[in-house]
Amino acid sequence: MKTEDTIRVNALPVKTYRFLKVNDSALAVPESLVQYRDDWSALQIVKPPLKRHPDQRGGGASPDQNPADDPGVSLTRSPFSALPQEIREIRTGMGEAADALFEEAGIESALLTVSAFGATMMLPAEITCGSSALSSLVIRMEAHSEAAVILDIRGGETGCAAAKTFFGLSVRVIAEQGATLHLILVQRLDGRVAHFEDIGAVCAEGAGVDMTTLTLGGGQNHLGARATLMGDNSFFYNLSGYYCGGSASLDLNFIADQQGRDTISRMIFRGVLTDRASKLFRGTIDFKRGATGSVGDEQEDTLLLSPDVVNKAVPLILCGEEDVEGRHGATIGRLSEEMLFYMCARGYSEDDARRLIVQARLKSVAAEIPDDRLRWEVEQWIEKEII
Amino acid sequence: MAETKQQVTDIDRSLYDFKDDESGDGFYRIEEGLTPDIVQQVSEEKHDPDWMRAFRMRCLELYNKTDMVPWGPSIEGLDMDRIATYVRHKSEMKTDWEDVPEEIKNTFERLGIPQAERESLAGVGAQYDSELVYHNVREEVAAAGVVYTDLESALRGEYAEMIREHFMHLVPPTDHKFAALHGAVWSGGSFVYVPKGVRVDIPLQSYFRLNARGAGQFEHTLIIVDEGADLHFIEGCSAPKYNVANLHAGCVELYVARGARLRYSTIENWSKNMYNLNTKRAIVEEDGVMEWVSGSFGSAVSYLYPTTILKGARSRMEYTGITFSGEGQNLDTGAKVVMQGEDTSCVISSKSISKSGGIGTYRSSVIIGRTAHRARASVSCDSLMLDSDSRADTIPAMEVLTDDADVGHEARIGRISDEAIFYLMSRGISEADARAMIVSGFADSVSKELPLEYAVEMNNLIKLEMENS
Amino acid sequence: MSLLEVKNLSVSVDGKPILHDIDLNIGEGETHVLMGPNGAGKSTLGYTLMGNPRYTLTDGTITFGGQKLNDLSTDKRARAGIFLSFQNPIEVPGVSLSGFVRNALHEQTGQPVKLFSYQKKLRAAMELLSMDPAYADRDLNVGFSGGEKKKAEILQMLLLQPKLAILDETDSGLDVDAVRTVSQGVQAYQESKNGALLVITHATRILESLHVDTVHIIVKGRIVETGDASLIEEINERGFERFVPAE
Repeated sequence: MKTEDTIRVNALPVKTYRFLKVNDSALAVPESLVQYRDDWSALQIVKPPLKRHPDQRGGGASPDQNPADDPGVSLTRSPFSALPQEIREIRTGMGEAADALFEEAGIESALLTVSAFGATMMLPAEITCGSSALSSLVIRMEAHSEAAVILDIRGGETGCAAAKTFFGLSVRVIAEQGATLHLILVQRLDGRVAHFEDIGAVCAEGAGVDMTTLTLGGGQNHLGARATLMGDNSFFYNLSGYYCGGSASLDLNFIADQQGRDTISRMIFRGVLTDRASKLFRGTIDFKRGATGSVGDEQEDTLLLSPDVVNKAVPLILCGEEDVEGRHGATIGRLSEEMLFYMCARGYSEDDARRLIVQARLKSVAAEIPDDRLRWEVEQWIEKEII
Repeated sequence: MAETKQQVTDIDRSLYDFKDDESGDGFYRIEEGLTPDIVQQVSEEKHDPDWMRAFRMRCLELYNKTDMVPWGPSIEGLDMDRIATYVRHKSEMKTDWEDVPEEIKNTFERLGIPQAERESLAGVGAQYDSELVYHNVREEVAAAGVVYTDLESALRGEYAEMIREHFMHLVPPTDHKFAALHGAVWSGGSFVYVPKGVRVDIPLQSYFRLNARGAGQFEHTLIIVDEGADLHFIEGCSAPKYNVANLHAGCVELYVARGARLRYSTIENWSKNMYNLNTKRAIVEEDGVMEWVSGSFGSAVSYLYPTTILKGARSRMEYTGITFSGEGQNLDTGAKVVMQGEDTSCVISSKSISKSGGIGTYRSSVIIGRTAHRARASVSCDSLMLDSDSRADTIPAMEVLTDDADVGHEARIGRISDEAIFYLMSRGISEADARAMIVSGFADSVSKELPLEYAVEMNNLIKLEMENS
Repeated sequence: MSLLEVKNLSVSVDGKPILHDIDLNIGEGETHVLMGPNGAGKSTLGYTLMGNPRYTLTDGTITFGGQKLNDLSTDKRARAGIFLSFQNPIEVPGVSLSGFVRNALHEQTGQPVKLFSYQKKLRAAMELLSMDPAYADRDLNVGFSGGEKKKAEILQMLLLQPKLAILDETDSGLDVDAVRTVSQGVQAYQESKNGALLVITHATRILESLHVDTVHIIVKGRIVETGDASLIEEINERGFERFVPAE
């Protein structure tokens, strides 16, 4: 299936000076994209659901259905174009052109429906060197459900002779009333893989998404996430950590679209850039009129470890409502001299001090992985690879 | 208030065709009322040297070729045809006092502006005796070797070469559409040259030149502060300036030499039918300091981003600004800085107030280049929303190309805290006054940078704005 | 031979001269006090001895245990056995107090630190300093109160066991109880390894429980007087007026 060569993705909700070249980004797309064959139907439940929460009314199960028949978590398949309209209409961080890729390539979506409370699921994605694949995951969190879904993305090993490996992942989330999804994306792809993660969530009253992303690999990375906080008291929390070295690039576009009353968004970005890496961060807190009592907070913290890095940041706050609190802060720079001196004064060499701080920064994000084995694995990776 | 709204909506849009649907990006194609003949005529009337005439013609070409930017407030209400008329008939352009909007007259009244001044500000009066004051100032600073004159005549005087070297080099006409327009029809404005080591104790004020021929809309200000010198220049005033032809496309070019310091303060209160597309830029050499103090209250639409190029090592920039967007206004303001030298630093502190449906946008760009080792940048923008009809958008951007830079950025959007209002009311202050006090306090960071009489004027202006609900 | 020998030391910070011609000798196990009014340059001496790159030696030498320190980097000085308790300890997010010190010990000895015995020592030291054991797992200094930060400094000193500990205004900002607790810690340090101490302060509270060998008075970057512990009483009663040159 032929697709366009380059599409525009990660657009800023409001444009700015053109000379900055941040209004959107180009994503080079391979000619033929195939379906990524996942093994998610096996439903790796690393932590089984608890007994139903007393507030739950059987989730999506019909009244006649015996609660014991409802496993609380199920996975079905559906062509992207056959998904219900409310799912296809979810706006994502990367935008419509990226979404169109899936439809055009005839991708089948994995539809994960959660009605239970307390489960943790692992969805590994092992990418074959040289492949150009797309994967689509839709998560429906039924009312008052709660689950953690971990996407562990790896592959495209070194030593791979094939020209290019491309892997695109779309995650769409519907969080119904009172539901909470903990979404964890851990990416440790080989440094020559072109990769994107296109995330979109819609949250109903009292529902929310708590997201953690850890980008430790990949060559050209695009990560876009948009949370539409429609219901009152809905929320979006995000903690993103990244380490870009070599000539890797990371292009981010996060949008918290706050529409309901008393909504909360908190987005934190902790990153490290070294060698010749480049990063473009776009983060938007968008208070729509009527979002009274809402709070939005965005913090970006970037460590620069080499003189050849390129770092761009565009943190936006758009506000059409008086009764809100919006805040963003960004710090960019080297390790503080004070901190280095303090550590050296305790006997750490400068290199050791730097390594410790950089690793600590990434481990603080890894700490949010709710699976002991994976978390340990990632911490080991950080200790070994991040020098 | 109704008067103002009427002012804006009554502009006859059939005069031009605006939307280019094919582009889909909102690019504007403006029917040109400005012809080469008109520009030629203007140039002749001014007795331009040949190079300036040629320059104007090139700029006109550029203007016709260049598209409007695809971001920022809409300039649909811009009356381009009137501009052509204005430029051509400038010398005869006079408004009837009767035609001056009620709102403007009220503001004059409230701010206590003398009658003669009022007429001048409204483009109604002829000569105004501020000419006398201006004259006296000139003599005072001339003793120190400071040149403070109108730019047009300086083009033919002993500083002609200096001006030619600098004129629109900092802001080239290729910069954007309205820089090109400015280059073609610029008229009036000041030229200031401060010799080495001279400290000018009193602020020079462009207000003195308000009524000079061709003043106002397409003024070009060129200031050169030589090594070790020090100058404070104040542009504008809090009284509203009214113009029938509603475009202000001015240009300010500031050269700060080694070890010199320049403070450029502006209180802008163009009447609320105006489109303020102003370009201000400064370039700073080693150890030089550039300070911007800016209060934006007027215009229907503003595009205003004082830009500083920190070229020399250890050069510094400080920007303190406040923008008040009220009913019918869409003010897009901020600052831009490019850091090139080593050990440079900049501090940007911006405040914005949005009220009664006004749209206030803070837009900025901080670029730290590869050679800007140990650069330090600190940006802070605070936005205050006074109601939910209004908008406050913050669109900052940073680009860092060196690892030893230190960049901190902070933005906050919110409302007046109920506790603060309660506290003031518990001290016997009415709610309306409490709100006005808090907003004034919010603007304090700017008013304290201004000479006293300007600060007082600015505070009066704020009070006035707060009352108009 | 002295443990620490400072001869003719002059120091500038950002081009500004702060210390002039300082002479100071500290023997093993001795307790010295450096006192002076605010702005005298006391902390500058501490930072200089520790090798902070912002402080430039314009003259003189520093010798520690017979080794010339002038060009030695900070971490090498720490490993040689000098410890500086910071007046304003830095927050190190993401690194636990326990992990941080354990790593530091590893850096010093070059040997891996046995977890079990380390944890025992850590617990004992925290108890001595009346520190809530939960702090061991908290990010170093992040969100710690002023008093807890100072205690954490002394805790590190006890575990790292330096030959010379420089305490920079350790008692400033502490309440009565905290001063007492910190003093206990300092005493424990003195006793355990016969450690030498340089206490930098402008007040005298922390000195009350210590046995002091020598007192140096520093004013405007110069040592104007050196004497025994009786100088402390004089400072208590009459402040620094005797030493501050008339303007």
